[in-house]
Amino acid sequence: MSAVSTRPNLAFSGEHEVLRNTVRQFLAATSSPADMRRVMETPDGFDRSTWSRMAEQLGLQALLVPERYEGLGQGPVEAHVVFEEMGRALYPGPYFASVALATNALLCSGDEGACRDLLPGIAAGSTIATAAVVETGFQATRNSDGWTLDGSTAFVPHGHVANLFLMSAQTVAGRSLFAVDAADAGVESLALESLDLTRRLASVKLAGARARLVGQDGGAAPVIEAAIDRALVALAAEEAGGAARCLEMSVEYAKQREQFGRPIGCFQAIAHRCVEMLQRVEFARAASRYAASCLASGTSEFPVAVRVAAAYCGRAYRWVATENIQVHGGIGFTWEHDAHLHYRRSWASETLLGNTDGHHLAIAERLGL
Amino acid sequence: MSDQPQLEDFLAKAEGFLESRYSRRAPERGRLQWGEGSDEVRVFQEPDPIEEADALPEIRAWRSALWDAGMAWISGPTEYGGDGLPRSYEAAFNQLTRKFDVPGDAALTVSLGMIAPTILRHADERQKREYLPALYRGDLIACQLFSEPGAGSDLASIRTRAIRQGDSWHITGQKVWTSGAHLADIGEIICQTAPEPRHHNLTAFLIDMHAPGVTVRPLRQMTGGAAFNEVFLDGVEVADSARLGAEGEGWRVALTTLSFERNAMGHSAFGGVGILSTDRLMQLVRHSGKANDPLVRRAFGELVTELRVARYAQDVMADRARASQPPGPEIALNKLALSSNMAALGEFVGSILGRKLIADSGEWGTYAWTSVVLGAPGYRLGGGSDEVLKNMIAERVLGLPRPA
Repeated sequence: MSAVSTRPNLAFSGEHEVLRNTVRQFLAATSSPADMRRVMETPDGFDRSTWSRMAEQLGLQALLVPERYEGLGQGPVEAHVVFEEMGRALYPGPYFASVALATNALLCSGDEGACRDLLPGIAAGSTIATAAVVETGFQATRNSDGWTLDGSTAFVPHGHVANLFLMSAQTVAGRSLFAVDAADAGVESLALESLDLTRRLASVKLAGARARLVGQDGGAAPVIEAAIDRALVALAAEEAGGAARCLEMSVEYAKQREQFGRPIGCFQAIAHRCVEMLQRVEFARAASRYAASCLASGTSEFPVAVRVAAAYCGRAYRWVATENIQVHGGIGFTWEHDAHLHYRRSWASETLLGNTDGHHLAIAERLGL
Repeated sequence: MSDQPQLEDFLAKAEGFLESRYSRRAPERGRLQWGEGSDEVRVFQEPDPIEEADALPEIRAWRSALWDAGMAWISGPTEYGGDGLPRSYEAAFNQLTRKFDVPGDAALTVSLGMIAPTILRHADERQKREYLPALYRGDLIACQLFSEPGAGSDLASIRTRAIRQGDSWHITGQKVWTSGAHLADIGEIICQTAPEPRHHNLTAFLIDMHAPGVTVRPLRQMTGGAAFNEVFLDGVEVADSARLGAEGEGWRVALTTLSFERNAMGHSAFGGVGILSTDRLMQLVRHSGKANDPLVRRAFGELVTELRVARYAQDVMADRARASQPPGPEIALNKLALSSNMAALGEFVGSILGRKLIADSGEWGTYAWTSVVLGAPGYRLGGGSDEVLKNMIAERVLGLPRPA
């Protein structure tokens, strides 16, 4: 009997709150705005010792990796909690690349051998992985001793620091997924000047780079679609977290900044703007949480829910990050203020894995219009 | 609660009860058949007064049967006729009722969604025992007498006076925007009982709507229908025992009712039923011949996004409440979403229908959408104007200083 609601429960458990606090404290101690300013200027763009401690002390890189591949075997709701915190702190390391993109691509491939060989390193944090799965121009060729890849692509998150690439490439049979070791002589990756200073994108050139086929030759299209959907759940959570931080910044400032002899939060033009920000923040959190729960419980609602979350959270974060600058006035437009770091991240995130228009079209498609 | 039944057993019993009295809805009945039956798109409850009066006995019979079966107030405290079960049981039961042809009880939204919970929180023991069972059994229908011609957003400035004479009070004044006053047996009224101080000079009463001196007149709004009333009070005599809460505590009582009102209003913000149903919107697009227009498809995806996220937010708040975290003032965010979604829906159907929206060509499912366009402005005002709610959220949720 289906009388009982099948929709997932959306309240966070005590364990979720413990996880949230643990991650928040870790990021506050290791990746404060001052830390971020420092690492932003370095060639890597992040701090490798923080990355190692994150793996050793919290095991966060192992979060989504099943236990049989030496991971923690946690689910999408736990990941939602962690990614919210990552987005809030603008964590500049390759966490999204390794966990949301590469881990999900491997898991969606269903390739036991590749998972067994590659996931333990990702889980331990010793392998930094990333994926280029959206519109790459790579061609794969089968040789007597395996596959090689040729071509180039840009916009690969943390491609300049990755040890392992998961690449979409064309074979004679169709779209296929490959794993490429960054140490191979045929691989050249280069950090690009990027709008988002806390998540740098890279170009990757492959010239006869040796590659390992992951999954079926020609069978990657549904794998990549599923992997992108899962990565979008993580991205939406990051966006919700970033938006929540922008709101906090605005509200704190509106209480403290005085003009015309009173705090600017007294003025309805500011107060109402903050309430509209709150609404988008709360709704973005709900949307990404809902999508994560649908993924966790495997409901048929997931394909629509994930694009609803992606469409809503992307736009909400950008709007809230924009208004955050406005509430701060001139100070919000300075290099020293963190408002622009969120603003930059919000623009980058909204287009990283397909833009809002594309998500809206996907919703129509997936609902059967 | 050691004798609490398992949810499965409870639902099996509930299903047996529903089965014994009401026919099951055919599964496809929930689905809209384009071009068949009424194409009415209902934005406000504006029923024909005669149809409405005819439907009332059926609604009362349904409530009384529910009462006898122990399902009229599933989550209510047992001492006042409730069943003392968790809210999740109530939610599951409500979902179950959608599979049966039970009478729609929108006429009881104010009674059960707003007035009864206010009574539970603020009334004295005798009043709770008198009114709560009667409201849940459907013997009494209640309305809310708050707004006045001179007190809308500034509700605390109401002028309707209650003057004490011995053991009774005499109420004189005018109320407006009263949903369901013409059906109601009792009304929760807020009156001024002292000239000042502001917010502490108001007192709440439960009055008999059939008492001498009470006049109810329908108020025709811009849609053309009359979902609300004006209520005139001319020296209406009320016993002191009908006072709800202490003298001077009326503002607190009113705030309770208003927070339940926002909760009840926000509930219709989700995209699953009625005019906001995805199915109805998809059929509209298909029948307009624009299903392959990428602009329309994008706009459809955008509208669905807003409607669904409003529902998810509602679900998240409901689940927080279920985990015994009570809904706070942030519940008003759902009402803000409802007003913007009604406006967005109007924009969308307007772009689909074009001229078919501005004159009734007789084509099914076209001109009927004008009620959305005409009703949308009301949603920005009802349950507290969007602006007043934003003031409230800024202060109580964000902790911003009060406007100067």
